[in-house]
Amino acid sequence: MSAETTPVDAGTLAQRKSKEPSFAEKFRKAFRGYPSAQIGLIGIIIFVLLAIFAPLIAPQDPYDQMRLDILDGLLPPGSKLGDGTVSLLGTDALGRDIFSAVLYGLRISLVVALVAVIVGSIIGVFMGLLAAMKAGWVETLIMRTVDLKMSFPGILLALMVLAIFGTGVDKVIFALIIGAWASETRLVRAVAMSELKKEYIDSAKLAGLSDMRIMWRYLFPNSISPVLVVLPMSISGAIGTEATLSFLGVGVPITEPSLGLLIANGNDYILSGKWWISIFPGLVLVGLVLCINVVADRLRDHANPYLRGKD
Amino acid sequence: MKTTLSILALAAACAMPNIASAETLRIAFASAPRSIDPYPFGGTPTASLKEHVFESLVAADDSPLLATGWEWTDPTTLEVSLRSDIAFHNGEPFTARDVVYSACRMMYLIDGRRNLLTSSMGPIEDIVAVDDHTVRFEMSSPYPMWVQKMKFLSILSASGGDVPEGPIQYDNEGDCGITSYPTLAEFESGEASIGTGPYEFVRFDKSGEADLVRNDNYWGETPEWDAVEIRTIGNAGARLAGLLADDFDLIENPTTEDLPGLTANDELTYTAVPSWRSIFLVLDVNPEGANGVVAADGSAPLADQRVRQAMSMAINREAIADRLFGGEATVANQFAPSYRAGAPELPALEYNPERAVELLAEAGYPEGFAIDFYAPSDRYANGARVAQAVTQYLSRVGITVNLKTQPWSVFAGQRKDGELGVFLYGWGHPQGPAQMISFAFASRDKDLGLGSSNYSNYQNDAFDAAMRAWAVETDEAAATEYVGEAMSIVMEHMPGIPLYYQHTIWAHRADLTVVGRQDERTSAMTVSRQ
Repeated sequence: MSAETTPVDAGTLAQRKSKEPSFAEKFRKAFRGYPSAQIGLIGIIIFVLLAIFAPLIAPQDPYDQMRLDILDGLLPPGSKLGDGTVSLLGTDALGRDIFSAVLYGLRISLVVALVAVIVGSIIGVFMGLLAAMKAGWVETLIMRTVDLKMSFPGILLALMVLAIFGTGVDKVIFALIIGAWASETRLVRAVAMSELKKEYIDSAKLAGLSDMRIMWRYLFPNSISPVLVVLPMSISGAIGTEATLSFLGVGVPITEPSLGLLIANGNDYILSGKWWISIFPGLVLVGLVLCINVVADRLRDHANPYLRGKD
Repeated sequence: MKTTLSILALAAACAMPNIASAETLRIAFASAPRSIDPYPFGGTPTASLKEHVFESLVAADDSPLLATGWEWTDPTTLEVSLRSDIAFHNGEPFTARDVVYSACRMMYLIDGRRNLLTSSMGPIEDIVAVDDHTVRFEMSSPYPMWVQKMKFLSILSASGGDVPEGPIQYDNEGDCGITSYPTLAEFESGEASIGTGPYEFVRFDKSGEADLVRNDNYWGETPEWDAVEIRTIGNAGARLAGLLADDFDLIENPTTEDLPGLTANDELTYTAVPSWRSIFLVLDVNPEGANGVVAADGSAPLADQRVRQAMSMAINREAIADRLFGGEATVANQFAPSYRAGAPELPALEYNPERAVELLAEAGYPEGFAIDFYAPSDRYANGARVAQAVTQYLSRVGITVNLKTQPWSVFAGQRKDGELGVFLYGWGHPQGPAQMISFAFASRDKDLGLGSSNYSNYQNDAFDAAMRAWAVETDEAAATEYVGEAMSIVMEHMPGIPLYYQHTIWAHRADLTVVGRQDERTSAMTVSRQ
């Protein structure tokens, strides 16, 4: 008996499996037919690779003060430096090779934004689930804190945080985390509240599972997808905020410039015709944020059931 | 017919200001004057504004202004003779009584707020109007610096309603039998802003706007401009844009990066003068160690003179002046600007990184050591870049430098608390070449006003002796000798490292001649048409 049925079952199973597309397939499907999103994706991959392999690609370590020489300062693209290397994109006032500085700056910008958004999102998701699950005073406390946070302009809040704690990469990440968690909390709470009304939660409750277990095992996986969709958008936002803070001189240390600080350095020279100092970091910043936003847009549209029919 | 004519005349009269406005000098300051009240606030912008309206006995360049001369009749008595042909803007004549009144106002605290000279006037026991044009300062101890300090005593007219008739009896409390002095508001409304200066007060606004008009009865050379309009624009780019758009005739502090563009523009040019501000590093030489300075063997590297000399030799000052300032900075060889009257002749400071490495090895630090180097990010022109260049040079001789740039508000507080082991700083020298070293390197002596900012913890008996002798020496030549001696000693020991002297830069219309001032003040009196 069993020997007869097994092949049939296995066949049906295989059929079902093929109907349920794998993650890679879903991902591919989201981008199929959208060349701009595909280019964006490729762009992101290139930027990330450049950032990861910056020390191998860059001709100069722009953070090593010993290697820099102000006598190499303000040279236009293609000039030869004192140590014989050629500076592809020119140098800034302190003799930093712009090409190297952009690669390293890209690194800082990406790391700061990624760490801040991931940590911020973890906090935000947890808070949102907690608020939805617990209701009562916990919810009130969390959601009023969110309201309070949202009532401040993000950049102002970050400036306040940096004014209190001082500057540095770790402090910038901290300031961005404080800026990032609240919107995620609001989003997750809204999704979780609608999930909480569904039968599977009721049955889990009737089965006597603890709140934490329900939250973690059932609510979390079912509420997380909207966060994943907005995650790229948050990352590009964080990159922009970090660049703004560094541009204002309250972000990363001046000896380790990120893209925003490089642009700020060059900004002083733009009227005197030394365009290369800020243009190249600016282009990279714009390119990076644009790529991420194009991809984020696509993911959001794809996740939207009203728009998905048009896929 | 007669009415028509008078209407025409009236119309012509109304049109006059438009013609006259061509003679208005429009200046953009980089930072706002705090008030037109010349007493409570220090700072260059405030001083720049007030001296259009108010004058002092001594001019900024140490020459007599409202005074004709002075003489130390004995080491504690200074007799100053005054000009006799001067009237205030309200027509009252200027006499010795006004000097006593102004000194009283200086000692009088409004809301407990000290004035510019309140603490500097401690040694002055009495001020006597000997006759209308002679005033005598009597001191408790020799106080030769008073001649320099008198620059900051702006002379007010003692003609207000609350000033009693007859001679004013000076006392140290600012009481002087006067029940009330003009308030800040009365100065800013113009009611009390009555001086002897070349321009009369019209309007002041806290945002840093001031309008002035020519004093037609000015005692000195006739002022060049019918009117002066001062505006404040903090952002250097916006200031330059204002000049390019012909909103201003003269702007303060264009950035050095913008100078090539100004040279290329036929309509505009710039004037730069070496100023009295020197920029230097201060090193905490405390033998027990300094904050943020770490050597592998736990010793205090900055306490070793060879280490300090090595740090000085590691820095290429020429490159900093040339590359970061486009040549608009003068390489320093001592703490006071070498061109300041009374500064000693000293040899140039050597740039020799090889010798610096040797000196560090001799001192027992062949592997170098680590320092936290602090610099204000928003205080000095190009300050953050200079700090990075210094970081480069010190790194190259093997010192690990952790550069920390901070906003001035944070930096100043930490400096005051003595938390900074190595920091970048600047000091103006309007009171002469000893001004910085007497505060920063002398041992603390409250009575003589020495050593109040000695954050380097430097102590040297020979240096202290020279500074003490200088502080009480009324003979100018002898005082200069003492300054030279003190400067040589401190330059040998190097509790700090002089870097360069700032140049003050003004950008202006090409058809104006600007005689730049070394005390960094911007003044309509120094601007004329070609």
